[in-house]
Amino acid sequence: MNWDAWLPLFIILISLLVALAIFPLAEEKVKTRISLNLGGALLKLVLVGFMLWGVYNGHHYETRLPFLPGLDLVLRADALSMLFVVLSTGLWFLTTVYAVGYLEDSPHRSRFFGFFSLCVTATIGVALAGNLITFLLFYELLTLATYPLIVHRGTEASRKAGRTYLIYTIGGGALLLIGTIWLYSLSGTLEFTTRGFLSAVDRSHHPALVIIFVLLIAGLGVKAALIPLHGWLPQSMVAPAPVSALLHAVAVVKAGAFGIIRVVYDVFGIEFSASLGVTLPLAIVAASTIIYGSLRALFQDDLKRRLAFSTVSQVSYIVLGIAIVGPLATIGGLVHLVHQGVMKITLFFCAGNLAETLGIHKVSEMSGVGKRMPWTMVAFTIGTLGMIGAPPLAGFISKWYLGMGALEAGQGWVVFVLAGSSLLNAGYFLPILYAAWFKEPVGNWPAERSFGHYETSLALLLPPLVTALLAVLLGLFASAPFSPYSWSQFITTLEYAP
Amino acid sequence: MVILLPIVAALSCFLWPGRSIWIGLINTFTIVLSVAGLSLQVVEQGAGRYAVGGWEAPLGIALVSDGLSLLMLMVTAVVGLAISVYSSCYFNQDKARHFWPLWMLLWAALNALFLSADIFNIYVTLELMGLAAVALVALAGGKNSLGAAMRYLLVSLLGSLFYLLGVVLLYHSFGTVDMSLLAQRLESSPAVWAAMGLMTSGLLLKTALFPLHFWLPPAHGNAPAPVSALLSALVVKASFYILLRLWLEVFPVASFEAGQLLGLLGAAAVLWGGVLALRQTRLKLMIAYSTVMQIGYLFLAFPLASIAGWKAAVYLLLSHALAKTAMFMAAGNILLYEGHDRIAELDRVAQRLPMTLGAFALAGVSLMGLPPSGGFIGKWLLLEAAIRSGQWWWGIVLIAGGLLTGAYVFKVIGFAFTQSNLPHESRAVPIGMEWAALFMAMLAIGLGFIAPWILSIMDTGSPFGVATR
Amino acid sequence: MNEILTTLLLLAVPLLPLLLVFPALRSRLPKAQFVSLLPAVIVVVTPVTFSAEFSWLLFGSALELNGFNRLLLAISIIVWVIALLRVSTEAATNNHMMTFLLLVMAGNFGAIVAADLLLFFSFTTLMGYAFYALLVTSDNTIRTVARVYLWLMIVADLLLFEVLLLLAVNNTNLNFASANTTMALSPLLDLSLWLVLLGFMLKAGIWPFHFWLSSAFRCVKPVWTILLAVVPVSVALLGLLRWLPLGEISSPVNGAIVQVIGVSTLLYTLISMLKMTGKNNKWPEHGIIFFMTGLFFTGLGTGLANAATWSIYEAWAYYYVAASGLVVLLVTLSIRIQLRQDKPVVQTLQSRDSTQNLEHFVVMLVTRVSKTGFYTLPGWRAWWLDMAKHFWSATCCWQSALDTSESKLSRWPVVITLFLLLGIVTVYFSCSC
Repeated sequence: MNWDAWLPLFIILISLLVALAIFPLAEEKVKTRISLNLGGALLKLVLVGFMLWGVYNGHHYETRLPFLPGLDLVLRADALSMLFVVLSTGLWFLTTVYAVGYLEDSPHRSRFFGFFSLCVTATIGVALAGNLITFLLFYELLTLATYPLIVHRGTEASRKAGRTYLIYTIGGGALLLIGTIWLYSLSGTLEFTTRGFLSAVDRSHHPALVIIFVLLIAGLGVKAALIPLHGWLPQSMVAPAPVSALLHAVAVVKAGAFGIIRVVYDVFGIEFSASLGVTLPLAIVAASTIIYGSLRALFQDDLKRRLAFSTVSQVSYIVLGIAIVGPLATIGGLVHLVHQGVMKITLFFCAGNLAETLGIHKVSEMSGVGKRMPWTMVAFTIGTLGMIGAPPLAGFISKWYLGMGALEAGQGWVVFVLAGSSLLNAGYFLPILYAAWFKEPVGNWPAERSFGHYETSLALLLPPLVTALLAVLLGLFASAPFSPYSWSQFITTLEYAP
Repeated sequence: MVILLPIVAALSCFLWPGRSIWIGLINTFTIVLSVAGLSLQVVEQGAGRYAVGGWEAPLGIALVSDGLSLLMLMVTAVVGLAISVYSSCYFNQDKARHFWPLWMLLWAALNALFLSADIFNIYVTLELMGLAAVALVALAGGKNSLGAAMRYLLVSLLGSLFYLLGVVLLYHSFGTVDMSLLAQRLESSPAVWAAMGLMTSGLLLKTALFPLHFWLPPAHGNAPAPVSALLSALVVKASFYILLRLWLEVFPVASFEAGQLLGLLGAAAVLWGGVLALRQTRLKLMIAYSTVMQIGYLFLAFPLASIAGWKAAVYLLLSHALAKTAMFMAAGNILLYEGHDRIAELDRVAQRLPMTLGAFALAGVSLMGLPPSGGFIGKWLLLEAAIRSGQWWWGIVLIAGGLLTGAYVFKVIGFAFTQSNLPHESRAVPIGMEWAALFMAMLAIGLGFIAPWILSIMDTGSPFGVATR
Repeated sequence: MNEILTTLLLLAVPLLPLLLVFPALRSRLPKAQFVSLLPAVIVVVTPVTFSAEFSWLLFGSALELNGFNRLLLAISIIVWVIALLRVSTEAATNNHMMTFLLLVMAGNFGAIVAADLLLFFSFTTLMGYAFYALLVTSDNTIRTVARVYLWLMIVADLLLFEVLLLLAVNNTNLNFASANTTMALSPLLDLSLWLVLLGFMLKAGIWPFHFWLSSAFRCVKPVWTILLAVVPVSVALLGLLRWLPLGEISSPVNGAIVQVIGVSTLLYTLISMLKMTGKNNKWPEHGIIFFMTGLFFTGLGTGLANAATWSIYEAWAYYYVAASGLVVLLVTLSIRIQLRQDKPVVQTLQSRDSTQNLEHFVVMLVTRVSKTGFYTLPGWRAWWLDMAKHFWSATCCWQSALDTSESKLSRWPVVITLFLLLGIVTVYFSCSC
């Protein structure tokens, strides 16, 4: 069995099979479902670990299936895809544990977990895609798999949120399709090649290439929540907390950002993009998103909406890192992909804990919650401080490299944007912390449930603690050989080396 | 063989109404097997030509099977299989007595049509098919369906009449009705132009291209679910197939403007059908308008006039056949379950009929052209052909159509998750029906993965002409 | 062996208090807070220069204890002992307070032993946040002051972060010695200098950023003034000494400005102390701090102006910082003793306060911005949505037009006409003439 050719496909098939197996399960078969879920997630982790070790040692994993005349379905594990795959798989496992605890006694769990697994299939497919058509395929599959998760509750509000989500994402998908086909007709290939494959295209087509770039970024920017395409994200907060955690940290938003990384580095190539002159507008859009997201977040009372706008702002850090032409900024953007995922998922897990245990949905109801749920709030604090960029947490590392990259590339204005954003982050996160730790609770909690000995059920408590610990470790041990930071360095040297 | 079998079956169903279900089912399986055998033969040996009774053209009837007709036969067989399974559960004894003979007749006509090699034979089969279809539409009884069936009958006869006029003109000019001989002998003359115009417009009427589509929504909306599936998936495609054949083989001198006209009408059909589908409140009417729109897609290949464009249109045709069948079957399930098919009151179909909704959703994915489905492949190929030929505006129409489809498909799906205000009684849906719908939908998605194989089949016998065109 | 022991001891200095932050661990250890001082004591007493390098931590950092910061560490330990003794009764009941006290201690010690910029920065950030929390937990009346302190500290952190970035672009090794050289050689020397100065001025409460400190002194109990003096202020002064490339550059202009600031601090202190002594007939202890910092700043300015002077007096600066801590301690103690003999004086918050002014300004700014955010922007959005709705209802007219035309299409005369038209047109087009 030639592992090199089939391992990527296996990894995707595992969660697809899990999804198909869970769908027909009856509601009462809790143990079967949980074991299927966790078993699948663990198996995937093991296989991904194996693949990671293989890539590190120089193995070349690639699955190629004929798909269209002239185009193949390609799943390839290169350094960049491994970054995203490891992030997705690891956080996936934690989210599954969390979701099991969160949705206890909820209706339609089989349906939920089926689509959950389908969602991870699509995400890993996006990560492992080796050319633009494969990417497009799994990208659209992601849209379809996440829609039922958003409308899971079946209320009028979730239906509206689902509709908004669809309008944005299917529109984005259409733009992406047009861009891809146009690109294909101009260049004849869609394979992801380091440093891009478009430098050979004739000069006269360059204006067309600029338009294609805009189309592709617009299509990807919907999922990556660049303004003004971000409207679906705050609305989709009506979904249950594991879904929000998934959407924001692991799957959808990161898929969009990852797509932008692929387009700029492996389709156009960073130097070619700079010569086309499209990187500066992209940087400006990203910077505006950063500021706008933080500003909107200041005025939100609903906790999850505030976190949603914070995500809008933070994901654009990644895009900003990409748009600044320079290796240090690239490292910053890539490493922020991982770090922001870890920190954001912590915050969403904690928000879900608060909602599930105490019925808290608004920031104004959070006074004194630090006494009742100390460990959750500790995780929340660590996540928040990481977001603000306090050393030595993970967020600091990415901000550091973004700032350095900006200075190195001569784009000093970015540093101001970063500073302003940090201030705004502090402005909307610190009052939450203050209210939670230092204020007295006002009256009873909206809907309190007791979970026995610990402050909340273990399945709800452990995942945020694990991710918070991870955020601290990623920051402290950034220079260690296997950290995301070193990996990002490795990717960057491939991209920029002469 | 494939033609004789259904005729025999139809007759026997007529004669022994009690056992019609069994006869129908057995016949279905045998037809599928024979189609499989034929396809193996064609794939290995290339296009074949078979003269009935040993009499060759220009006098005898010849049957030809190349890639295109083979694919049509295959899709008919697959759809037929599913419909047979579905109908065995759907109709009660009384209706079943009438349904099976008619369905077998229709199948025979379709098979014969796809295999025919001369235009008069096509006319005969076209008439037969039309009559059988009209009768099937009227099967539901009731004022609506009878009115729709009447209208369909008039339309069908009008279209066939024009077609026959064209055949007569051609025969009179060239002395043969065989298509390959005509292709060799054809020269531009007023008779040919007139013939082409007559035949085209007749066929357009039967294919329900905008603005001549008015008969389709009532017919497909009021017929029983399996009949609607048959009509949308196969019958309108048959007249499109004929048009394609004529255009490719007999009239290769077709001018640029004619192609543009057809493309324009197709674009208008896409937009018109899509918007109207959005406005429907009944599920089956919505799906019928969706058919109007998808037929418009097929005509977008005409202005492109390239091999890639034709292949794309055929691929779209195949996936639409599969997806539409699934959709109508799902709608039939819902109708049976709830007693009505008003979209706004679908009442948590997602929970009560998950397989049906899954079938509907998957079929919708293929119709929208989202990956990974057959519809996506067809859409991609058509877009590629459009951009390569420089006429990118057809691509915009295609994309807009996809967005409109998405709008109405997800409207239904969105309602399926919510609770309606009024409670409805529900009747159980036989499991065979649900599985049939789901199976078709999965096939539509599966069509997205076997594209290279299907495309290579399309090439056998090179029905689209040799390259460079 | 020796190296491992050195490394472990040095690490334990900030880490033991960090570990003991967790209440679970603390409850198992009697007098935990004093235990956490132990590694620091050992390290101070042993007459060896400790140093340890960690290349895998952050971007490569190091800890160090040499002659300069040893004295400061010693003074800090003494101050902490006294503070802990004072608050032990209170802390027994308030668990949070001990947590934050230990966090501040960890930050404090860590900042003193840090040997590279980034680690210093991390520990001061930790210390700052923990100190804020400590202030708020202990005494609710000083919330406003604490908030101002927090915001100033965040801004200061940002400024220092920018400096770090500027330095790191040229040279990733952020050891104090090499960082100083980099700054000295960098073309953005003035910018870096002022960023550092401003950052630490905010942290240390030097005039004109002194208001939070004076309000804090007025509001808190006397015991806290010790901590206030030693913790943020002296660490900030230490930071100034470490971060500025003194002795390597001579910048007369900047030096002169710094000297002016130092002198103004002194003057301000004198004037306000005279005013207050006149009012209450009481010697305000916090005046001492401002006095010391003012002197320090003046000295700093001189050193900045002339490198040679600095190299002579460098050691003195460190001793000075340590000494000022000691002086403040002594003064406070004496005042406490004096206070015990007097009647307890009720401390009231003065109404006209610089803090109030600053708060007022910020509040005004926020209200104005939120007005824009709450009223104008949503106003535009509502207007836009209104327009869209109008457009959509106009489209709805189109929809009924659509329906009528569709039904018209179903009528036979129309159909026949269209059909024949289509036939004729097709014939025309197909004739390619």
